[in-house]
Amino acid sequence: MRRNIFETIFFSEILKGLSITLGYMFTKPVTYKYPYEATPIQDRFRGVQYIKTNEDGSTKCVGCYLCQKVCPSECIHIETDCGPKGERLIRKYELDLSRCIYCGYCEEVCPVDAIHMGCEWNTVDNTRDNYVINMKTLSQNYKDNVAGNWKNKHLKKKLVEGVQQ
Amino acid sequence: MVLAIVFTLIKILIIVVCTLIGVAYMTYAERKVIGSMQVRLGPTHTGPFGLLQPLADGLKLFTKEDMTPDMVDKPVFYVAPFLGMVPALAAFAVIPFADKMTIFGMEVQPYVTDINVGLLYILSLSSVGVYGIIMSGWASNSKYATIGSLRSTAQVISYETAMGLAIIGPVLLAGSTSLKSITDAQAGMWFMIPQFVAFIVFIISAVAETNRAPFDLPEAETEIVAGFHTEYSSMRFAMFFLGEYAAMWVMACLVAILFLGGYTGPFLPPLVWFLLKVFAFMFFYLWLRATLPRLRYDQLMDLGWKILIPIALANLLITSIVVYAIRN
Repeated sequence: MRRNIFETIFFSEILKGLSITLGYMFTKPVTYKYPYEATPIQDRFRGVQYIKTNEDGSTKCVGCYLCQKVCPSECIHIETDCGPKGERLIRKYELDLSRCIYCGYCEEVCPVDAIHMGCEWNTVDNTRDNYVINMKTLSQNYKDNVAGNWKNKHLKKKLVEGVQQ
Repeated sequence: MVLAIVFTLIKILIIVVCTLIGVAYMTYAERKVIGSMQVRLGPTHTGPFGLLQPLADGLKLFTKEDMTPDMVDKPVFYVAPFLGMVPALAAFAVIPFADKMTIFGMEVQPYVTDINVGLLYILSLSSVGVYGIIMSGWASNSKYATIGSLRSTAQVISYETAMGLAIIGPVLLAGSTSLKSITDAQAGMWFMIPQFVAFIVFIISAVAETNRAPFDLPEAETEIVAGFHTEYSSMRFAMFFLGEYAAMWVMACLVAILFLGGYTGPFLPPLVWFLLKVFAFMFFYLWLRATLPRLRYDQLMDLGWKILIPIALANLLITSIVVYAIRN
């Protein structure tokens, strides 16, 4: 190790360190006061899913089972049935948030652009059953995401226009 | 006679209460200052700007369970926290906060007493404080506490030598060990200027003496949990804490008195000058803690014995020659 005798005698290295900490003392803190202050949500944040609806309020989901197939944590359960005109009806669409790892594969794989990752992230609840959300909740999540009507009051972000289409 | 005793008791009470408040708000300042140096906020929640945080901490410590581990040496274990705290508080008795002043036609000295061996009194009290540390470490019957107390003792004893040698410089210049006479001797020039080497040595040993970062080996969290007070909880822990922070205040007062001219200064009242100097040194403690990493044990001992003591001795020699030449 190279030692400079003048640096040792005049504490120049220590003084340099002290000046750095003193400089940082007057910079703005980076803390978010979380329960009182919103933390930023990035554009590609993956929160609780929502499923888009058509103009008449019916779901965009066609029950193709691709999201159930691709889901690595097997948290999506779909049951379909045959309707009177031979179309496919979705009997059950359940998503277990306690199992979901928020990987976003369901969003990637969806052929009709129905399921999406939302901005909501506060899923705390008392019972395990409440973590299983169905199609009704997922559709409601879409409305909330569009309107910026959040369950946790800290979220300020609304969905941008481009995503709504 | 009775009046004098009552006055003294009132003064002692005021000083002890002010010291305890100072200790409490030193913890607050520590968290705030180090927080802002690390680009975060520190306590903000309890009261405005978190100003009630020290009170909340104190209440928490009061109401916690007082644990005594099974295998400790009980009498020694119980006595040790008092030995850690009382000497630090007692040292405030000789510190002159301000000059004598006249209030309502009565002469008041705003310090408890001014004894002619004031400096020796403080030095000996800070040595007695070591007993609390070594007793707690031995009585706790725990390896971390023992290692911490041994480190602390070794550190305090070796740095006390350098500190004592550094103190002799101002004492030689002032020709007295009474803290008030030393302060009055600095009316013309602060001893920081002619005794700059002693000033640096004293600052380094004062930080080491109070076991503060970067010399906080006795409480190195990463190695030995919390050092000598590992086994303590509740009020006994709080007493060690109080003692440690009160010792920091004593050291800051000593720096202000010995090298920065104590309460002397233009324009402002003496008490304000004294507090300004003390606060500046307390800020320096926190500043160091936010900046420097902890020393290794051998580096600590090398710095104390191989560097600081020879420098202090050389400074002492030169000072005494110069003082002798001028006085004759």
